Amino acid sequence: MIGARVVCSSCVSREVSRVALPATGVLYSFTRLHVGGEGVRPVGYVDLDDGVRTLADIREGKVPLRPDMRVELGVDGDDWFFAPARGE
Amino acid sequence: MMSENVYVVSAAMIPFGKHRSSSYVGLAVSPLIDALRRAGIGKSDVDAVYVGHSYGGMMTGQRITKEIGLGTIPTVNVDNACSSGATAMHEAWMAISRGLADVAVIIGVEKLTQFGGGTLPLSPEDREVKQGLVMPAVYAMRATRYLYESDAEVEDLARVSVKARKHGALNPFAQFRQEVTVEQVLAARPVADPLTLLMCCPTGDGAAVVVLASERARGRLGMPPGVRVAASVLHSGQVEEGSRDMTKPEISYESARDAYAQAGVGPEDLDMIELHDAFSIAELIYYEAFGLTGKRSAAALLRDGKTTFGGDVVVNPSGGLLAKGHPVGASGVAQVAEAFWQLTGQAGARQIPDARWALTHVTGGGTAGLDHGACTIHIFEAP
Repeated sequence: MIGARVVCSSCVSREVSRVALPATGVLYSFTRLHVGGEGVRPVGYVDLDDGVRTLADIREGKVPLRPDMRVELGVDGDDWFFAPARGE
Repeated sequence: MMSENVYVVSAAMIPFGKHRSSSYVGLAVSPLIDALRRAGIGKSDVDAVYVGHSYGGMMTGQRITKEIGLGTIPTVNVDNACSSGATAMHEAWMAISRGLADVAVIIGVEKLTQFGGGTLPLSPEDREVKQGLVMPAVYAMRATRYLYESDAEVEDLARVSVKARKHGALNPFAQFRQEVTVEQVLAARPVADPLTLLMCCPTGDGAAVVVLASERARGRLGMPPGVRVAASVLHSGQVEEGSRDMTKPEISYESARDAYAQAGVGPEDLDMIELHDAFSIAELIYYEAFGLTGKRSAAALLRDGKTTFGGDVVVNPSGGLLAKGHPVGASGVAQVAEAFWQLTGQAGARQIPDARWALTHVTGGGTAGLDHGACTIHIFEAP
């Protein structure tokens, strides 16, 4: 679950509910992280199609990563990640 | 509301570096004694003590001040991450400017070697920290986006480090005093692409102390004239749940706007800036935030030598966080010490001729939804 809240940071209402987020979005920026774990870990900020931004692991394929490319959600066991969308 | 003029009347620090065998107390006591002596005052003249640190544990300030028998008066421990020391400075300035105190001591101290290396420990409660986010990754994503949106190249990120090391080589308080080349910076170990190790500030320990006084106390106690605090501004980050422009950090833009208004000066008046170059990309972004240049044109300013000695405004004459080092809570106070020395002609080999106006800037980050959690800006005027 991404960004769960107990209160709305705009109107301060406690009447919050879970919403389904889109599985597609745009890669705002990214880095390949070489510290803090094993090997190289690509991470990025994804701006989902409903305007929510999330930090996510990024899977690299044959297409080089670049800002503003379309990405889509992938699930691998308990792990979730974003990867370049088909057509990129 | 603000009636009293406030002055920095003395400054002291120890060289930043890896002081593995030192305690927080051991790091801070020596510059504390030096700062009081240089101000020409005794401990009984101090009305309040403000201590910035993030990882010192409970009562760090009192553990330091008790060593010289400085008690009974208020001692305030301040944590605002990398802005801790500058926030302590801001609190002291508020107390004096409002007439609640006449003389305040500000201590910034940190020992990062206690963690044995690696990236700065962030709050384990933060959702992005739980996902594995570390500060180099945040700045690396800023860099990726900035390079994508501008004409700047990765070599420009390296040039920031080259300049910092050139300045640090002149500063006896700097952790790194060896110059480096663009090629060396680019060939260094990658940390978070496009940032290499030499584009990241080092892990280190240190302490810095300044004494602030009201105009009234300065006369009464016969203290040196010192430099006037023309602006002291502290902002907190505003949460953004959706998209955020990582290359245009609103917290630093708005803090700078307020600081310029408070001081009645603009970027064109500044002779020097000490800014929060925790990673080299930050310096380019802050050139734009402070109005030194227009959007996306920071790299040209750097390449043209406008921000080094002999240029329009010397940015990070001390070597900045990249070369002088960044013991988190100490950095904001060390920046003020540098401004004090530059504006009073005591900066030695790195002296900026006839420096009249200085700006210091630190942020404090590492929280999901905020650009940075805190930003502190001070502007100082020479006597």
